[in-house]
Amino acid sequence: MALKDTQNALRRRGLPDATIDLLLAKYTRLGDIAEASASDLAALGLSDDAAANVHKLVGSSKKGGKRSEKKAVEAAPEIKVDFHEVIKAKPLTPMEERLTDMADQNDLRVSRHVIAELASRLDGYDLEESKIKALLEKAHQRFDDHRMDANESAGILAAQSIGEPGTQMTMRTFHYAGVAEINVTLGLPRLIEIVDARRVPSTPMMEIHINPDVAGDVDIVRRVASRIEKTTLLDIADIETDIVNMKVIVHPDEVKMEQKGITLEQIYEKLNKDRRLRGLATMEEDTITLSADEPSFKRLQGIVQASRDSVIQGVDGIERAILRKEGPEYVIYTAGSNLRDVLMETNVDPARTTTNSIQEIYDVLGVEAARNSIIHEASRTLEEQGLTVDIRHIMLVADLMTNDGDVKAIGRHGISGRKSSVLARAAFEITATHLLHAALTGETDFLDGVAENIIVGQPVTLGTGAVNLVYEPKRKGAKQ
Amino acid sequence: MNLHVLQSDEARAEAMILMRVQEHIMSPRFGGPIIGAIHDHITGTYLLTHRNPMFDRQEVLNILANVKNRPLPEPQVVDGKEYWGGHQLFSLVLPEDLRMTFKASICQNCTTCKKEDCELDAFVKIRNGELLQGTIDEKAIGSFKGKILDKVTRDYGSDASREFLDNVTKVAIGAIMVKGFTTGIDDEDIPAEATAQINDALQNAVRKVSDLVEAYHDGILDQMPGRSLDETLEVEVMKVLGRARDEAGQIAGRHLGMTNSAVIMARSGARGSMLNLSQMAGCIGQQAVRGERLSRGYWNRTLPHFKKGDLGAEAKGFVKNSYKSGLTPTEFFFHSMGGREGLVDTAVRTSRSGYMQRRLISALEDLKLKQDGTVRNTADMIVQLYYGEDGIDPTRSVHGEAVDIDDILSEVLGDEADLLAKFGETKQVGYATVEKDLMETVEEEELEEPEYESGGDD
Repeated sequence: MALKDTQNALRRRGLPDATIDLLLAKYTRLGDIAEASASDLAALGLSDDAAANVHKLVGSSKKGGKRSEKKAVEAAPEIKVDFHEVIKAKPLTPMEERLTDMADQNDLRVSRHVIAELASRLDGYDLEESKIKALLEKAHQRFDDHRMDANESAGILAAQSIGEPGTQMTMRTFHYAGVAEINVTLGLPRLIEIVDARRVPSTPMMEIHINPDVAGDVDIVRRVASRIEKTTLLDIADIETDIVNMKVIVHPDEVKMEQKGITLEQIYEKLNKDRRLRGLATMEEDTITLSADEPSFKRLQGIVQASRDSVIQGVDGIERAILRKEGPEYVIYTAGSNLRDVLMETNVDPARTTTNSIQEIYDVLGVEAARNSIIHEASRTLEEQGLTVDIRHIMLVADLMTNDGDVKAIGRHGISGRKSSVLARAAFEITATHLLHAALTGETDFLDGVAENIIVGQPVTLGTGAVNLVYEPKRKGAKQ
Repeated sequence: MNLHVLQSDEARAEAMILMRVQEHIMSPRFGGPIIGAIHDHITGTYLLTHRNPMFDRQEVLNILANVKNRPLPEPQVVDGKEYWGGHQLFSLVLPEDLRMTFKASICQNCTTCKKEDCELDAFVKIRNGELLQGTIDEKAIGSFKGKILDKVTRDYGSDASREFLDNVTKVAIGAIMVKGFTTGIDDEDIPAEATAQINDALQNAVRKVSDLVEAYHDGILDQMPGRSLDETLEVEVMKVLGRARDEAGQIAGRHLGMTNSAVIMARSGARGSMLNLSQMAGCIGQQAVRGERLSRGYWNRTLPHFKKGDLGAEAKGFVKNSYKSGLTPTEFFFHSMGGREGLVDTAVRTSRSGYMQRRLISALEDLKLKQDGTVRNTADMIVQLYYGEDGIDPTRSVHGEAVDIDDILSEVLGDEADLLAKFGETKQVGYATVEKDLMETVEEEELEEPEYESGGDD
């Protein structure tokens, strides 16, 4: 889209089309062209005159030239980053390797998934070489037959395929089986939330896995869970109000403290750190006394209130943590989510721990992870409702949403609002604003999209509309 | 009424392909058939093939009267009279070299599959276009699930598939006309002792609920971790009542055998489900609004028929009766409350999903697969370097998979392939297996299954 805008800008400045094409081969931003030196432009195949013309029309080459030189100097000391390989591809099994080699030698292209599937069937079964080759040939032939045709409107297929089952989904919030305490938004509202790329999901949730070597140990896992879970003073102590002496006495429950792994000192420290209670606490043998700093019952009431909900332990945002046994391991499910802080906790397995907040995954792990998360969350939502949608459709939506490096919503604030064509934008929402703005700034519409062509009454550029059929009738008496 | 007349040769040529029904059997959504047999067509093939019944010449001619001419197979002669098996008749509509093995809908998913020796006749085996054994039901010819339909469309083309579907429906109707099939309210009749058992079970459950409520009032109910006492009570009560409904259904189900027309329809996938039957014969169960027991209405109670603060089963929407025995006035009211939620839900959902769909289309309408295999929008911005990571068209895929490995194996290796087949072991939906225990199913089952097929008319 940026390219189109630059092209328009250059046209408006009166550069000839040939020059523009050459420039756009290397540069996408107007600023970059302005900063390009004469030799840069010559390298693109522009004549000296044309280059001078570019400088005249696009911007001041002197200033730009200096700036770019400066930049080059600043950027010189390159910081050496020690990259180590994070992505480890699953190694091929011997059978997979054999099949891959055979496929390569005979130029039989199939996807790795097919090879793996075939290998898992053939493993441990003695089969003649010729038969294996026949299998691969057949697989290759089918694979080729099942490929999508060029000019297919993949986008519309995906949109309709995800939109259609929407009418068959429920609208309620459900409880997780086994962890009945946690509410999860599922069904249509969740799907809408995903394509909306909302910052915070309506029911954030995490699935925290523990390092495999200790994941079977309930005590260790429980300790992790209690460290993560938000614990208020009221959860672990009885709070008594002494009106006569204007004091609040905290009686911590030793059993509960033991469970949560909290000591009296920790409580004391935390209470002293609380903005509303600073300097009021004094520690006794097994109680903590908070004495009011001013002789008013209102203040005393405030202290009681503040002490009740002062947070003693836990990760921000994690409201509740529940253990659940899955196979040999214990897994922690939480209501509320904070990926960054949870990953820092000891014994948490960062490779398997996930959250349902796509934005958080984007912030912590990057855009590719966010893309995977969109695919995972959307397909899980659909599957859970018993609806089958091909994963390729969901992939396409996820790829479009994450196309330019951050997560964009499907809608007027995201993808649809940034289309290059005025008519396409106006056809969607807030029509008048788009048309007015286009008129004021003199936008050009190149009519290459779908909506634009429908508006002007031309065939769209997808499918059969993307190709032309030329028929040359034989002339009478023409040679052959 | 409007009539659109195609104006150009190009348009006519395109419409000639696009408007053919058989080109729309496979769904681009998931790579399976969406047109298939329903209702009597499935019951018909079930009656025709289940346990291979015998038909005499008169019956065979009636069944095959509307099917395109094919020579009659060799009859079996018993006492000097000619008989044809249902499997032989069904094989007439199958493509000549078809080869398949799968489990029918009536399969009970036993822990170890007995395969060829299945007592339920649920193991379907087709070799060289001959149905050797098994029952043809929804799993074979139904929409979404029909395996034969799926394979015929993919391997023999859409014209063959159309012809197959035509023939199947004709044979099915022929068979059901010869065999005769009817259903009525007496299909849900259960013996008096079963009714007594069901009443016992329900009585028991109601008593358990009042015990729980008592424990709650006495403050001796064990609180669940992370839940309030009120919530704990609700969860426990829902559990007890859900189990009671299931039990009532099971008791009723025991007395409705496979000779029962309603059960045949439910099990073969023609219409209805065992849940529908157990609600007619056994007990309707707990009514729910927003996944909770009914609670709103009057101050502290649902209806003035109950005491204020009554938390028992009947007072909060448990329907003990069945559709057949009839509901009490309060039960009827509660049932209407539960039903209303479904209607509201549908009304809200249509607009919300409609808007989502419009936004998706607006965002994705420009994307197309280019000659070089990339997916780009019309401004030439690359969205995917390789469509769907493997370039496979979902319409042509085999339920999401690029190729059908089982198919390839059996085509190349013949019967040897059965040794390699991981037949029926994993239930694959797209790439991921369904996490079955993710949801509490209790709540969902309480709502009657809404009908989506005829969307828009309600």
